Amino acid sequence: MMAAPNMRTAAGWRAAGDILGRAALAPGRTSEVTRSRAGQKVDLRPEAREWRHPWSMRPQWNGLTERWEAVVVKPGFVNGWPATVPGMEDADGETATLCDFPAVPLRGLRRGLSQESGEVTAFFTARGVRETAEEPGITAMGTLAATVETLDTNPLPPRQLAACDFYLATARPTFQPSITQVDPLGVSGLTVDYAVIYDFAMVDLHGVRSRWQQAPRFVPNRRPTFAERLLGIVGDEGEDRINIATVFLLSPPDAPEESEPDAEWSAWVQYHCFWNLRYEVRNTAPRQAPPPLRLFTGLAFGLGDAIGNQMLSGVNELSTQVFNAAATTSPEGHYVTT
Amino acid sequence: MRPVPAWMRNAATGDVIRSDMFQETAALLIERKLLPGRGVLLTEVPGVGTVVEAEAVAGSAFPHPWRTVRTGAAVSISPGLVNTRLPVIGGAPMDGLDEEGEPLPQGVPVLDLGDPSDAPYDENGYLWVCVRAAVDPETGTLREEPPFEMVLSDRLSWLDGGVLDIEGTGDYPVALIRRPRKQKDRHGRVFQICHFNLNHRFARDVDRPARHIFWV
Repeated sequence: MMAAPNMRTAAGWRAAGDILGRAALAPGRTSEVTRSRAGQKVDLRPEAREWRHPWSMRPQWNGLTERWEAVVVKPGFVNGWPATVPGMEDADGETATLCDFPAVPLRGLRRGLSQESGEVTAFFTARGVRETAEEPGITAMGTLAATVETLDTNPLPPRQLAACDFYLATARPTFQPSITQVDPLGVSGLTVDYAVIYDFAMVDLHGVRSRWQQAPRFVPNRRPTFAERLLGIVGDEGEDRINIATVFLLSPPDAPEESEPDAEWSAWVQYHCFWNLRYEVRNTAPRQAPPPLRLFTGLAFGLGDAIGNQMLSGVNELSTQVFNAAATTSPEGHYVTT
Repeated sequence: MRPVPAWMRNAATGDVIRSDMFQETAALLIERKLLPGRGVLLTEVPGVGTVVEAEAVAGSAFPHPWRTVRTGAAVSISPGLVNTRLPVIGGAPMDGLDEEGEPLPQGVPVLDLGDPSDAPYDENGYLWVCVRAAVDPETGTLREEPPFEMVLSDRLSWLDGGVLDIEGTGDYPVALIRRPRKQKDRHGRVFQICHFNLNHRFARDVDRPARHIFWV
């Protein structure tokens, strides 16, 4: 930095003029300059960088490990927390989050994608992908290998397609109904005690934060029916899932059918979710276990109640109680965008 | 911008510097004063010059509400609305404009992280930029002024899709500033969480704690 010019001399004034001339800012590649009477304002150029939505992924071939992997380049959030990535560690040795930009290997790719499932779109058929006309695995099992011969009208050399899904899973409490029959064979009536026991096993195992998972195929939650929920016939999975993206790997032309993806394959991502999420559970476990619900069906296993009109209101009230019990003991959650 | 006048570039011994020349020189100096834009930090160091720091974050091309940029210890946030109302930062409207739409003398307000070692990161290195809703705990209605404020918060407690009420306030995250746990000598990187204007409702139930429900 040069010394301040001596303004008592002509040379000093010339130097000052030189300094002032150099002080005029010129915008660079990523900046812009706005001039006003107040001065020169330096700003970032708005189009300096491409905007990416949350969950944006970049599949890449890792030449060292010789496998495909995917990095989320714009981390996604659920309830303000970045999704954790089980099995990956951050710099501190803790479970990594998407903010650590871990490269998740693509394991267990699914093959045999079909147009019927909507996965082999015109985008891929225009690049030479043929749809699979039979379910994979049937031939391998040696049973009813009904190969459907179709006329191949695609003029392009055939290319193979493999895919896998990335999804979020969030653990939550489950409930187990405890049903006790009192006087089950009594002709005077049937009394049922209906209690709810909450189970936090999945929450204890995985924590409450959403997990970034990869699988050959996303399996949505199975929503139990009302009767199953009430009777506890089907066990609750203890987590809610949402499909975020499908990664497709496209082979070079004329690749063998069962060839493994390598550096010559190309990757494409289909997104199912573009925004950060909030996760809500329908009912949280109460701090104190509610008293058991006791249902009395009435005479002759309830048949007598239906006959007696005077008891109809009681039956309706009973139904309401049952519905309310099931509604407040259904802890499945859902995701909403933020 | 006016060019440097010829009399200055060609000044020679014996030239007279009149008062209007001094005024012209002062005007040239003012015109060349550096001003920081959003996401730009200028640090004037005597004897060195002016250091320009700019954080080119992804998202520049999408001018969504709550777009958060950290430059040094200053966190600037693009204006967003909650219940169609503009939150404040330190008592000043977050867009830096007064009621008549004129720029405030102090410029666009920012959140100050302060020194990295003293910044309120939690034990995992998380610090959220939140919009805080303030209600009257007795009535559940929004406080008069200002009901919404941008704050830095290390608390984030959820219940049934809402944030837990703490003494009449609820913090909803719009961005996360995260730094590695062991790097306590620097501030973290900003990750955007919320991209849209918000709505707020205060929910009080008999059988559960009060919550602040935010939605887009």
